Amino acid sequence: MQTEHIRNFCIIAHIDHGKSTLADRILEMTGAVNKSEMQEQVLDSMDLERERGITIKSHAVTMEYKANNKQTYLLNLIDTPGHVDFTYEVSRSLAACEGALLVVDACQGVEAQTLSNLYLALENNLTIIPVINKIDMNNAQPEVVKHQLMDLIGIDESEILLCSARSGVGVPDILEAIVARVPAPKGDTNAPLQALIFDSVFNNYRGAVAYIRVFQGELHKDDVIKFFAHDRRFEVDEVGILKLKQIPRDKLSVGEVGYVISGIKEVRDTKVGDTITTASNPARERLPGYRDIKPMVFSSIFPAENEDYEDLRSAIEKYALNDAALVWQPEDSLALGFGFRCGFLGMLHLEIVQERLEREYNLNLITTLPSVEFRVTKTNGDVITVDNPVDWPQQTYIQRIEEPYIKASILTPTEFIGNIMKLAQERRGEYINTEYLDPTRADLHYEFPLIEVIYDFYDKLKSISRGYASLDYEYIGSRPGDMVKLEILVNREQVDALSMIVHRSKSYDWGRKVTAKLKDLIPRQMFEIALQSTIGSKVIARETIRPLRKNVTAKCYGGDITRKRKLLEKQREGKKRMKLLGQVHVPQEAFLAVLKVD
Amino acid sequence: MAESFFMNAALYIHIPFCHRKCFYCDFYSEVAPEPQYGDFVAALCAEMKMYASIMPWQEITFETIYIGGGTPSVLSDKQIATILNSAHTNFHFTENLDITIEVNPESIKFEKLKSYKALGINRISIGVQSFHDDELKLLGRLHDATAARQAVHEARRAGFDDMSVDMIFGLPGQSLDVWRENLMSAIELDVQHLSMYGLTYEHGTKFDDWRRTGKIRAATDELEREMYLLAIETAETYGFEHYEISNFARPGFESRHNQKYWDGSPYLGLGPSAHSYWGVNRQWNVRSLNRYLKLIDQGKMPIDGAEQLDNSTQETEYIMLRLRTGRGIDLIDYQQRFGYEFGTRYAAALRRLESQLPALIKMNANLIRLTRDGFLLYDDICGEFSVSD
Repeated sequence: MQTEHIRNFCIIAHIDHGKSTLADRILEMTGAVNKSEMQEQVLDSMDLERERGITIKSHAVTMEYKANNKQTYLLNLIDTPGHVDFTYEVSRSLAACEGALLVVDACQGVEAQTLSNLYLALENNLTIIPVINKIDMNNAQPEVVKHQLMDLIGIDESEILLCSARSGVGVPDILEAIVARVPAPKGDTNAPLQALIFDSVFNNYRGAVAYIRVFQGELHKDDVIKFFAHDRRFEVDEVGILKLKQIPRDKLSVGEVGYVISGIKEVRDTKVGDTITTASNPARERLPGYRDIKPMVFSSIFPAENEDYEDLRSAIEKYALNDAALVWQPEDSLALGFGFRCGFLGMLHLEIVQERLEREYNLNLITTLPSVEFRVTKTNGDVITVDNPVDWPQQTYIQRIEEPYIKASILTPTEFIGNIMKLAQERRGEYINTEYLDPTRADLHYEFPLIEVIYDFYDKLKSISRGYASLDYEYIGSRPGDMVKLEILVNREQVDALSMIVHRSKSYDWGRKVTAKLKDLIPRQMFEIALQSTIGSKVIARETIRPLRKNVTAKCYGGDITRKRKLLEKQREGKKRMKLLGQVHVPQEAFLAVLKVD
Repeated sequence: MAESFFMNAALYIHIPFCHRKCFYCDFYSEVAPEPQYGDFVAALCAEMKMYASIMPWQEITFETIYIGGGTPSVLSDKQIATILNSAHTNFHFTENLDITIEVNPESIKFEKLKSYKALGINRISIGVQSFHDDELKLLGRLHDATAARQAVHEARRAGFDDMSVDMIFGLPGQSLDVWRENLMSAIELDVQHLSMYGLTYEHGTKFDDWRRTGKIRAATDELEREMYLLAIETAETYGFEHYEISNFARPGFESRHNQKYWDGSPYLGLGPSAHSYWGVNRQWNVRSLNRYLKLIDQGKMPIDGAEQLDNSTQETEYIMLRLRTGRGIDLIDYQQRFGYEFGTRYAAALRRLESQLPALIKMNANLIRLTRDGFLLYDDICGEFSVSD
């Protein structure tokens, strides 16, 4: 196909604004899937994605579309992940396109993610086609939203399309607009190959499958290819285009979108954003925008039952084949036994990894309080990075601590500004400014220490704004932070899995709350249990669990013996499931308690 | 445990009738019309006949009979006589056979007690529970405090010199003082044996429902603990020996029958819901009078289920039962039975208990037993002695 008949586009939208439904309609109308094959939201293939209504991994699909001008076009829809943890992946998917449908919910209007994705699309020089969705809803306000969009992008009202992805109204106009407005890809078929990896997935039988967009040259089956991120070379087993299935082709040419399989075992070797070229005639440069993605949030994962450690190891190994962003290494905790210290892109990523490990590998896991990576300068001048409280140096050896900061944009109806400012203050936010999108909607700009937002900030934000405020953020570097290590002692023994690095100003409050929560969660035992929070050698909070004074089966005769024995066995099983810290049986919930402290 | 075949056995006979179900009780019984009593007694005799030709009961020697319930005293003395005659026809007994019958104060008269005595019954266990009429009403008992005292006097007049009284403490709303009064009233009866239980809320009883719905409130652990300690101190002051968690006896008047449950002797249980045990076997009868009658009628054994105890279960039960007793676990006996040195096998548990809790356990080279505070935490301590430790 000639490049002038190719259109590469993506859909960008805030969560729930109808991106997936619109994709479904487009697939249907171009005949890429027929009605009977149509499973709602075909592109979101993981259960988890469907349940959470978000796209975690991006996908692509090629459609043939016969336009009103009687010519047939190849439309490549490149789906993008829809969450702030995956901004980099989004930016690479956008880089593979020439145009973007900017979908905005007619009831909700422009939100934080709409903005951040829009800015990303503009950075990648994409042609924006604004689409207002859900116009058939009772509380739709297409006129209001139109004005938001006009203010935002500086476009003419006539350029804005209206649709209902659910019913299909307006979707044919969108297809026509894609053909008319999105530029055809440019490039030179004879130039050395430059193909952008915008996603890669792991297949049990074929290894890493890279999804690519060819910018220059051609990629043939049997070519020997090389990458920029590492030095290894591979021979191409198969190239092809992506329909609902992979359709092999002899080659992929300039402007085309498809997949390549070449005996690569791990998705770590097909890094998103990297460029593929041929070994025989290599391009001199990598396509712009590549970044080595770095984990921002760290947490330890332990099996609830110690004997499941090997299962967890094999589950993480398998899982990681398909998730290049997950960083992990073995960890040994006194309290929780063997497990793994893991690095994640963000909290959602953490939750997804945990849920998938539990669900797909049938494991029961304990995760510790998430942390971030601190830069610690010691008194002897050494600089170390610490993401695990276990590795925190003694306070006397610390000269200087830096913590990661983010720049946040919080989009909110103006009535919630007061609540949000209060929350931001509690989270050590530094106010930058407020922009008004219109008289009722404000975009608050803040800078936050990352550690203050990774943990339950988003839920709090939603609850204080009745669900209306939305958040987007990006990493902006490190700044000095007065952090301390808060330790929890159970009967004078330190519990490593419960310690945490917190800002000094919050340490007393945290210490009090954690010990209080633990008091609720640890059952009374035969002896008194002392719970203490300490910083260094200083005790900042203390609770006592009074000893159990009476637990006796009064009657035990002939008929009762079996029943009483069974009760006893059940009680023993229960104890076995608890972790033994010194002499104290601690239930698993206690380790999650720190995650639930309000 | 093969040696248990050589131990003398206990015979338990369950009479599944009451005039009314008490609100806290979960033992199996029915409020049935009197004609059913006769059918049941006939069925019971038929059940005895079935076991008369079955090992080990065919050859074993019984040392005690316990007629429990339900309320055995609702049966006529004739019916009791029929049951005991049948037992004598079908089983072997020792010379000094001990026969206990449970009675409730409202269904016991002097004549009945006289005939019990004549039948060879030598021990009476009276369900008194409280000497406060409001408490008795709350429990759903049909007698009052006067009837309880009367029953004891009548039994003594009928010639009984081995009597036990059942008491319950920790009733909803009961104060320590009220329990002290109950306790002293029981002591004043000058009986030979006291069973004193902390109230338990058994699943499926009215009491359990009432507690869940907030109609009654359970005593606090702290109060129940004080009541229990008071019971032990008072009983000991008046010459009773605390020989099992909930049982107190004047020397020589321990319940021989109940001790057999705790020392691993074989026992045969007859009647609905009764359990039997011998060696490594346990079985239990159906918990329904109708099914019991029907099965017997069809010539079938009225057995509902059975289990064989593996080594570790036997060991668990052994520890669980012996720790209930004042004597505790005889460590030499333990080693002979199970082949392990107790201190080695439970080293981890003992370290945990000994270092932190000398107040709960007394141990020397020959025995390990619980102290008063240990009895109060019996369930937890048993849980510590887990073989996988």
